Amino acid sequence: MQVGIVFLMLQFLYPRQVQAYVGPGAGFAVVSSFLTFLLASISSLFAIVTWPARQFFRYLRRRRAIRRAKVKRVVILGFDGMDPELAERYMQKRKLPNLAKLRDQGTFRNLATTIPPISPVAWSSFLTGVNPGKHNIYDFVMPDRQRYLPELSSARIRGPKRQLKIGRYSIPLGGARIRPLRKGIPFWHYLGKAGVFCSVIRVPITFPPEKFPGVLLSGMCVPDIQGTQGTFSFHTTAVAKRESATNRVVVPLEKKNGFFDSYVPGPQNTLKPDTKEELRAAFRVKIEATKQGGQIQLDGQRIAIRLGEYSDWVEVEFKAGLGISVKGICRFLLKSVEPELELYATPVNIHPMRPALPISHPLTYSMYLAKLNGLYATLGLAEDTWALNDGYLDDDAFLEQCYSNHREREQMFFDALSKTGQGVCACVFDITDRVQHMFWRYFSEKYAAATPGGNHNGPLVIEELYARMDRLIGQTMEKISEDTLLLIVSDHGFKSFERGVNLNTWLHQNGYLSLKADAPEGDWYENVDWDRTRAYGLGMNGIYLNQKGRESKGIVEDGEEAAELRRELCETLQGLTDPETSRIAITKAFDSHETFFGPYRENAPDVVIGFGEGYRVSWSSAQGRVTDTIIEVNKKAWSGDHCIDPALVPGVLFSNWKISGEGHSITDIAPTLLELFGLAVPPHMDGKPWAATPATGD
Amino acid sequence: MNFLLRLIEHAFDFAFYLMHAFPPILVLAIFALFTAVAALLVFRRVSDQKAIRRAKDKIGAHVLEIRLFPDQLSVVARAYFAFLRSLADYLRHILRPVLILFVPLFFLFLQLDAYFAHTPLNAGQDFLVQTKLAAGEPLEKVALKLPEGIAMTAPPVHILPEREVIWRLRADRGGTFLLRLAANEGEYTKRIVVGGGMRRVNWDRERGGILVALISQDEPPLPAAGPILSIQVQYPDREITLWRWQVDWLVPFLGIMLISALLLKGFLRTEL
Repeated sequence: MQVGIVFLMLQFLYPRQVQAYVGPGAGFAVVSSFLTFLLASISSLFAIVTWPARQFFRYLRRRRAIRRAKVKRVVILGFDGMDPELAERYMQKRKLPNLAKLRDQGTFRNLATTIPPISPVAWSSFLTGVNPGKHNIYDFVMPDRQRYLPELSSARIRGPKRQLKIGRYSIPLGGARIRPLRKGIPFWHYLGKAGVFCSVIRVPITFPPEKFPGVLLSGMCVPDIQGTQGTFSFHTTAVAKRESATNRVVVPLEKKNGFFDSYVPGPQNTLKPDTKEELRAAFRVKIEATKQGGQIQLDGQRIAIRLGEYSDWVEVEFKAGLGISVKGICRFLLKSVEPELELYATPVNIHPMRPALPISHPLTYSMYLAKLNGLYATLGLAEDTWALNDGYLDDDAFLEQCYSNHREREQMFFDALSKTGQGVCACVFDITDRVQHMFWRYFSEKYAAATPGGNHNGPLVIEELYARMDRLIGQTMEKISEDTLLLIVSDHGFKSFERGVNLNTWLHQNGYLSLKADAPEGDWYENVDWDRTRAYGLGMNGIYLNQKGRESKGIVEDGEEAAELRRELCETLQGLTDPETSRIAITKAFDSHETFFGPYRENAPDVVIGFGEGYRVSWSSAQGRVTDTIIEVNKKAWSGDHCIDPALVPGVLFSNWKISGEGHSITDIAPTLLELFGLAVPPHMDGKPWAATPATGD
Repeated sequence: MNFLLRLIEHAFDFAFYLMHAFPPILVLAIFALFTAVAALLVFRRVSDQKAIRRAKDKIGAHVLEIRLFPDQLSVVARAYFAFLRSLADYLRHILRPVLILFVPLFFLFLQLDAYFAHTPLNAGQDFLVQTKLAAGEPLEKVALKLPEGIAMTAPPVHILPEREVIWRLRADRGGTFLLRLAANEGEYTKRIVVGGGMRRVNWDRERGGILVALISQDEPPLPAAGPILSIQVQYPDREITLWRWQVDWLVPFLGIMLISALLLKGFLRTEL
């Protein structure tokens, strides 16, 4: 070794032409290092040299606002579904010292949510400052009025406009067309135009990302690589044939020569649209002799897996042909080796470094985050509640997935915070919503025992979750000064979901919805006779009239007949009592014409149902199924919910500043921010600005 | 060591023999392609691929950071210094594989240089042989003994200040010849190669240790205690024609090797 080193040193002392180069590694290293050095230096120099000019123009743009601005920086931590009653309870137990500090020195209030109190609706009001009648989001889904099927309410994704047909291939000329369905202008657009920089991380209903002077990573409603809101795959030796259902695909693992072969299901091959061919990424699994782990071989990668542990993010490439491929990322979890080999794979997320669809603005922002911190979940609903609900994951595996995603989100948030010295840094954390949905059952021993996926620590999971969020708040408070306004907000609270109300069955039994004679019971209104149906339930809270000229087989006349039917439905449904428990299952029914105001009211459910505590729309009703019983017991792990009467599930508002007044609503946040930064509140905004003053100023 | 060197030489001689009918640029391309593949495989094997990937990602992240947040000088400055740190980290990670690759590539380049740097002498054309003597050795006592087929076309030139003697010779046929230089009661040889396309040529034989032995390849170094410092034959330079340009062999070799490596690094899953 020493001789070798001396020999190499001598080479440097005796340079000859042939020694000038030592292989492609060094070549690439030297060339690429030099080029990146050059690029970084030029970029930095450009930024520094042009900085005074840019600052000057920024000043010109916002000089009026600067004079009126009351704040330099606002940090918004959105905790989806944080419940004020639970927060209060845990503060009393001294589990949340940082929130208690905010409560004592700043502000703690209930924050009124939207009608209906669903995340996409409430966060859309948060970011636009308007009621749903102006932002057009009423639920996760909306009806396709031609086919009576649900479709995503936030965005419409279509294939490219033009395609070049060559033989059996259709080559897309251009990218996919994504049309945002959420209307209204987010507050960061107004602020950005006025020269206030905004970092927006994972705020729901920001897909597709819109251009504005700032950075944004899209959140809830970003699809997976298949275009769904999250379809996981489960690979097992227990089945011989593939089985598909909403949100999951069960794929056989076939034993061959000591390996187990399977594939990750991908999107449809858009190069061959006629064949409806599904793209697949084949992989094989080799199990160790110890049966404690093994290896997945996927596209040349060898991924080590351990029993009960998630793999890192794995790049999955789906090859469509003609050299065109789509890349995604997923994680594997080896669930069991014996008696059956079982492998869970998360939904294949859009690859943040090579996004098949834009998930950030600028496009490079998602790449930047991935390069800085590693690959991360990009799917809107990244925590796989379906897998736990249907028994493919247990509580521990689900929690591990949630916290892993949460760690990624924390890294992003703190990076964004460090980049936003002035302006707005807003980040929404979903874990609070997902964990409460799935672990609320542990508040009731009887309920917990009746549901799958047991966790010995179950009763403490939500408490620990709140404590974890509190620590995050503490870390944030350490990084901000007192003149920074910190807002902790949630879009709604939580209540238990013990019993489900099948609205479609109720409509059927009360003569509003008719079934075809002798037709089998089926999903998505398979057996509904539309020519004799006046109303149908769709989504989490909505009842829609089968209106003539709007629905393809509508029979209800617009105008007086429709208004009368809405009134009738509201009156009849409001106060609906559960005969088994004698509790009120529906406390409130909202007539859309009296609830929503704006140009998109026509797209709203005609009646919005406010369920009572302990109730929600049943699983079968949400799937467009008419069953025998109106109210059924919820036996799923999904045991907490908020799609009920909005008065029962307000969100939280914590702040380090004093916020005075009453009746604070999530719709008020956007106008409040505009006013704090010295901008005029646009007259179309429904929210009212709050009076906020630094706590030390009191 | 000597055995190993001879073995390498024979291996290359055999490879060149197999490709003797090919044009030089094609031979060069084949070697470049094989070198790229082998270097990529070795690089992947001996480097910490994950660390290289991480370092490259960080470099990319900090470059993007400068572009994403140009209005914030403190962010730009921090990003630039972080970029420099990541770049240093990257260079640190590739140092080991590069040093390891240096050894085989050094031998490879020596071998290729012996074939591609010069062409053999042409029969019927004059060429120069030049020797340099040690201090104190009389120039006029150096004599050149010519083998059959090689003739002297001019009297030797003695350059006293440089302590050099130069002969102008001509070969009347192709083949490998051994020139003998007599000086101070000793005899020293130098092989010359005339005609025959792609052949190994060594233009210089000189004094020296292991390093010179490596470079001189099939001819051992001149004895350190002898009167002669070096014997050089002025072979014509071999120039490779690329489109309209005459270039040194190293240019297309490096070009082909880099492009091949760039194209194959994904296929061979090597992070460079």
